[in-house]
Amino acid sequence: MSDAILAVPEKIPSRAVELWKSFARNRAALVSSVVLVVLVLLAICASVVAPHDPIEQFRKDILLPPAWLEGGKVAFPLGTDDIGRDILSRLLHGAQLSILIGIIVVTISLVVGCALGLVAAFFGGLIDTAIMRVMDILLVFPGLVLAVVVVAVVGPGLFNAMLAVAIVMMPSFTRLTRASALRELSREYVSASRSAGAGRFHLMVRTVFPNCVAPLIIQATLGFANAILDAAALGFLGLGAQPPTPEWGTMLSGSLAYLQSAWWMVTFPGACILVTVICFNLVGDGLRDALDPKLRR
Amino acid sequence: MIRLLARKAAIVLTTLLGAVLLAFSFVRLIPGDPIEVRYGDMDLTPEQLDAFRRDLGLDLSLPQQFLIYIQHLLRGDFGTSFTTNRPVWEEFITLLPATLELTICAVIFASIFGILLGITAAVFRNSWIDYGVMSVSVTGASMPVPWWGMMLILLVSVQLGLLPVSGRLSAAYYVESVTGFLTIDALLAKDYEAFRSALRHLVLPTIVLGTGILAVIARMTRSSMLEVLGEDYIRTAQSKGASRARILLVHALRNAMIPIVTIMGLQVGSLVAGAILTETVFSWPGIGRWLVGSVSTRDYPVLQGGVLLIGVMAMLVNLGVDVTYGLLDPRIRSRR
Amino acid sequence: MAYLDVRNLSVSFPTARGYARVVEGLDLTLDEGEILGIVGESGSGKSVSALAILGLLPPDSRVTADVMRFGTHDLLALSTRARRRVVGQDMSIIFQDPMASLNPCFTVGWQIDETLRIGRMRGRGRRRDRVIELLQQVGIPAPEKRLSAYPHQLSGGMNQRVMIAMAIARNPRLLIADEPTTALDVTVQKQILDLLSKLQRDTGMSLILISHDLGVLARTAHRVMVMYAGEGVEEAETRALFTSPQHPYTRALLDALPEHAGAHRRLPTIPGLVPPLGARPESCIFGDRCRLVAPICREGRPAFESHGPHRRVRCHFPAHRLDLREEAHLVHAR
Repeated sequence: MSDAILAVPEKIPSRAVELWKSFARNRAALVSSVVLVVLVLLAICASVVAPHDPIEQFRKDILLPPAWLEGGKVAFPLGTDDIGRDILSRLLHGAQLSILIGIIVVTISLVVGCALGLVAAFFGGLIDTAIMRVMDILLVFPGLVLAVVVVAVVGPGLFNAMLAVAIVMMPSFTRLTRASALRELSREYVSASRSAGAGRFHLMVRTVFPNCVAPLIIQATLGFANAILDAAALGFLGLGAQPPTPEWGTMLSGSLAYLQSAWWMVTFPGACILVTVICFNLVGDGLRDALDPKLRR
Repeated sequence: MIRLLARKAAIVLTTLLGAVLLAFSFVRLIPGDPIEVRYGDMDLTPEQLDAFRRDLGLDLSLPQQFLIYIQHLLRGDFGTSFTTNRPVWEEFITLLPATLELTICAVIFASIFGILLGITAAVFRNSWIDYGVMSVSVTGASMPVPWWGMMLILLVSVQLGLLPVSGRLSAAYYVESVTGFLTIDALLAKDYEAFRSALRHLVLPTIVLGTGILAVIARMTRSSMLEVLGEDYIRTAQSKGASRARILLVHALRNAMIPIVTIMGLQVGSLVAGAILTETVFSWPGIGRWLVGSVSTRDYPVLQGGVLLIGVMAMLVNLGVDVTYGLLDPRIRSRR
Repeated sequence: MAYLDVRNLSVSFPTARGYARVVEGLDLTLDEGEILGIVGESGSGKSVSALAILGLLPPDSRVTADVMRFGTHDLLALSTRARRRVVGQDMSIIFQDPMASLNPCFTVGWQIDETLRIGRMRGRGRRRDRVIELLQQVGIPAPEKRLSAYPHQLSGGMNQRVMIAMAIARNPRLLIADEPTTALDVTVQKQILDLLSKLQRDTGMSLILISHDLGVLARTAHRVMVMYAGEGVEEAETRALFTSPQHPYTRALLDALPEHAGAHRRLPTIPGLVPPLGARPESCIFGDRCRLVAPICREGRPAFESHGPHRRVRCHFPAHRLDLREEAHLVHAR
């Protein structure tokens, strides 16, 4: 036992290198992570990179097509929308929002979900049953329906939409944490540190939790993808971010009426969502292959 | 099998009770007075508002209200819509067939193509066919449903003019509602023109709603088939002289179906979510649009009843999946 | 002429570092109505050889042979489809783990019936009668009731009987039993072996019995082929093999049998390891573990030479010519 503990510090770098190697072997995941890094950089520098303010209306240049088409202007590379806002600038600021949505939603649901899962696993009995039953009930309702309900209670808006999506995503984190915590609890090192006098809280946070991290990282990455998709769906239904916020889903919602006349208003925001979500999914798959030796071939 | 079902039913019942409690409480959580929301702009005296409150039982304590709510539910009373003044149950049951028709078509579409693609990918493992199928699968699973719908409308309906843009039926036809499924009703009325129109209206929404599940099914089929194809009984089937098609479609697929059905059961949620979005894009008069509409009109009885009914339906589908699962796997069927 | 004639059979599998040979230059012959035993440790290539003859290896494996003839069929020249017909019709196989070898999703009745259907037997009722008859033949009590049983509802021995019923359903001329008793209880093992010999006597088919256990073959086989690391090292009639083993490996195997070791002694083992996959020496494959090893053994692979009727040995110094070894040493010393 003490040998294993002593050996850990030396093992960490080699394990990280090994993980990176096996992740990098998956070319799709590698390319996706590069795309995501670029996206994050663009999002951070959005106000510098973007040619215009995202909500500034150029009344003379309404519904301009992209620059390379007839009637397009170089000043508006991807065209303008129905009230003369520059689509490229809106997309760039939308990237900022989407990344933010992903981070906030995943953080909320991860923190709350993990805490509940750990508590359920550690205390067992009635507490466990109660927590897991509530999660079951949440899971009965299809995600978007539940989100719609939450929005109906707290009112539409970007933050409320994020809250709704976070609540919808929480049960999966709770279940995952509980399952891996229960698995870890049955291992010998836990009884060893329990007999060494470790307190319950210490045991929970310091001993067991670090060993449940791998599946949670995977789930969190895939959670980013779902959060962006769900927030965009709420935005599209008019229940998420409200105009003039340049959220991708909200932009889609406004473009439905111009489907036949201004295709660029529809195409670009959706393509941004699609590419971002694909990248998160591919990175998630890559992480799964790298972190989960059982699935490695 | 029966004991298994009984235990399942017990879990379903407690979950159901929880769902009812959730549906009951969320309306009470909404800030503001529902009576004010409904009659606030009608300029009524406080006494009149109190009378309405009494009518709706809102003057009672919460537990009393909950009991009354359950009593009503047991009688099949899901409340009355604020906007149309029709019973929620009646609206639900009128709109349900439209959603079911769309969803069933989407599931059939997704299952057929998802399973075929998954088998193909498994058979040609690590070839460009496999990579192609897996790329389609990742893209499908990442697709924002409303955008996918709009892109298909843009391409197929607007640019090529092949299929209608929205709705369930061209305005030129009228079909007597018997089952509520327009395709079936048109056939019953022997109105083949209307049947054709209904089918044409179904194509794009079916594809849009089916794509996400198709992606998941294709992926699951591939990995499940790969696992099954390495089993000893596949070698036994080969040693009998069974044809390749027989080995794939009878021996392997039958075993591979068990995880595929499980994953399909888990897709009920995303199917309902997809239906809400698809119905909104294609102006499809179904449950999803009804529910979203009730949020913006603040029609709380519709929201409350609709959410509960959708939850119950989702639960029933899951139960159905569990039963199918037992039918597919004889080892589960005979377990006590 | 032999009924089954395989010459210079080689099989390789793809690995991360190119193709690895698992069977090298194996010769097998079998007459009608004969029982051939193949013995060897796990990984010695005995199952792979059987699967290669039946054409059941995965498509990315490489199988070559100078001759592979079965009755009138040239197995090397047959198309996949024709091969499949021969395999289902005239040759069949039963495997080590009967539970895993039967499809868990179908009843045993259905699975035997399927074999008949693939063999184009018409008439549902006729097939049903035949299935019941087969189940009786392999000694399954109350066969009508067993038709609707799933494999997980039967014991391992019962499942192996079902596998045998399936294998003999179309009256094959050759049955290969690949470790048919390894996964079964000791008490059931003998029953299954007796059943196989009885069926062989009754139908006059040929039988290849593959086992890692010489004891199993001693009772049943007419002739035994000993395999080591993918090569045939000794072939002899069963009694001759047991009374006068010629190859050092065969002798070591016999010495390791519990009944030879007696109660008071530790079981003798063979020192050293089988050469790893993909690292076959050019010299004698057993050289590194052989107590008789001499310089000549390092100079190339000994031929599979005939030493009397039905007896072939791949060794420079078979037991009856140990004097050769003395000479070799003298030559070397000089």
